[in-house]
Amino acid sequence: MPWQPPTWEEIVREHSARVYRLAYRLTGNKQDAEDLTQETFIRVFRSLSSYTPGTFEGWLHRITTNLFLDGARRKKRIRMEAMGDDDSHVADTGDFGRPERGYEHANLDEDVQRALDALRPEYRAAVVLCDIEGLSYEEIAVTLGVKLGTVRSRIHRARAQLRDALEHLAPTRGGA
Amino acid sequence: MGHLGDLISALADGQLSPAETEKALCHVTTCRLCARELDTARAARRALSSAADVVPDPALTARLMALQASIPPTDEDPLRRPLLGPDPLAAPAWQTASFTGGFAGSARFDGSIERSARRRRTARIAALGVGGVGVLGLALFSLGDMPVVSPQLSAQTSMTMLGRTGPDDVAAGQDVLATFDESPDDMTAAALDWAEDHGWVAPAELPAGYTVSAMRLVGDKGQTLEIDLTGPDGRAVVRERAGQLAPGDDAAPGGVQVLATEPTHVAWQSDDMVVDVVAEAPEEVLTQLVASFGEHGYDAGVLPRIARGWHTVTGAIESP
Repeated sequence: MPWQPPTWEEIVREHSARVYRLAYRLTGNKQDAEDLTQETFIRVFRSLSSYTPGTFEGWLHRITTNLFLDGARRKKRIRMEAMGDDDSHVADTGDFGRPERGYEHANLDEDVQRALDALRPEYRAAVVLCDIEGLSYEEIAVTLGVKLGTVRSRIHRARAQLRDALEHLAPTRGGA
Repeated sequence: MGHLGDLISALADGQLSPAETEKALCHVTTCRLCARELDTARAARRALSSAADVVPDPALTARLMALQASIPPTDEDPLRRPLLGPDPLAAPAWQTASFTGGFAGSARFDGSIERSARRRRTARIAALGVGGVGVLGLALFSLGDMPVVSPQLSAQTSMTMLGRTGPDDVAAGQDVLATFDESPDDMTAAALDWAEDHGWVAPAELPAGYTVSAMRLVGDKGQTLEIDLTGPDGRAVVRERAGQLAPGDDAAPGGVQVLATEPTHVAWQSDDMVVDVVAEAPEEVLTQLVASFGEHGYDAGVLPRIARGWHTVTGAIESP
């Protein structure tokens, strides 16, 4: 049976919440999340005719994360030029301290988001796809276009940083 | 076996093969360091997955729906219909600022818009001569506020509308009929065809004896179509514009809202158009007229989700 294209309304209804959630966890604030969501759907809309059946979710994840990482790289380039320094070992804190921060989340959620925001974009994308979206490592590797081992190490490093940031929330088993 | 390193996270995520998992767990039971690492990896994972869900603002969803109308159609793409709403005047009208104020928040068919349309009339007709009425400016609409249309309720508006049926030099808007080269007898059919061809909703057949006496594009961008009908039982004015009809309290079955009774003023949603009719004609004529527009409402009674942004785009839809 030939593939029946869904209507645009169906696509938006079915997927916008997921894309927005991913965008929100990646960007860390409402405004950027909305921009990213919108950009993603514009991309989807434009290339829908060339979309071949497969997993629509996977396609959306790919577009969203890649747009996000592109944007993050652009920002980083600008920052590096400004600093004239290699900041690859420095946690990405570029979005910290924005005034709207803190009014949008409550308690636990805010802490988690701040911890996520402090991660480098590549780590953040991997760990968000894993923990928030529930993707397998293989799916994340495809989504990000990297090797499985890279996914593993990114998630591991992201967790290590998250652990430090969230230590007061989830104390490790003491001593024993 | 050495420490698990980045296998810890994979283990916490259940991403190792059964054999690897067993080996790793075996190691964890004997290695305090890795056991602690595993705990913290699991804790971090829990923290993330327990983060409260975020839901998109309904306005965002509406903007996404509106993309359909915002991006120019391409061939052979079932999702992309041609943009509705003729806009032969795109170029001269784009710079107007008054439009935003008039329509963005509360899109009403009100006097201020008509006044500004009149001011621009000369320029618009000149533009028409160059572009030709059949040329649709493919306008990019941005993802701004979706226009919710609340047809104005005052009896005065209704009377004003009725008062100027027929060709009228001082009526606001761009006279569409004047651009036709048809004999008076064929004018009604030509007018309805034109409306249909240009993405408006056109009645299939007018009540007996009724003709189109005037047809105008009103508003800065000609975004409202006004069709004046005259017939043996009295006059009627049909207005259409793309948008979403503001929900009313007493929508009859079929989604027709009765806004006023003296004279009768009804409105309904027809696909992505809001149509409203003011008529001094008797009820059966009005009913006939409303029925001639075919199906009312859509999407099983849910108010339309198609929204249209009304601001010009520059950067919003740039291809990265």
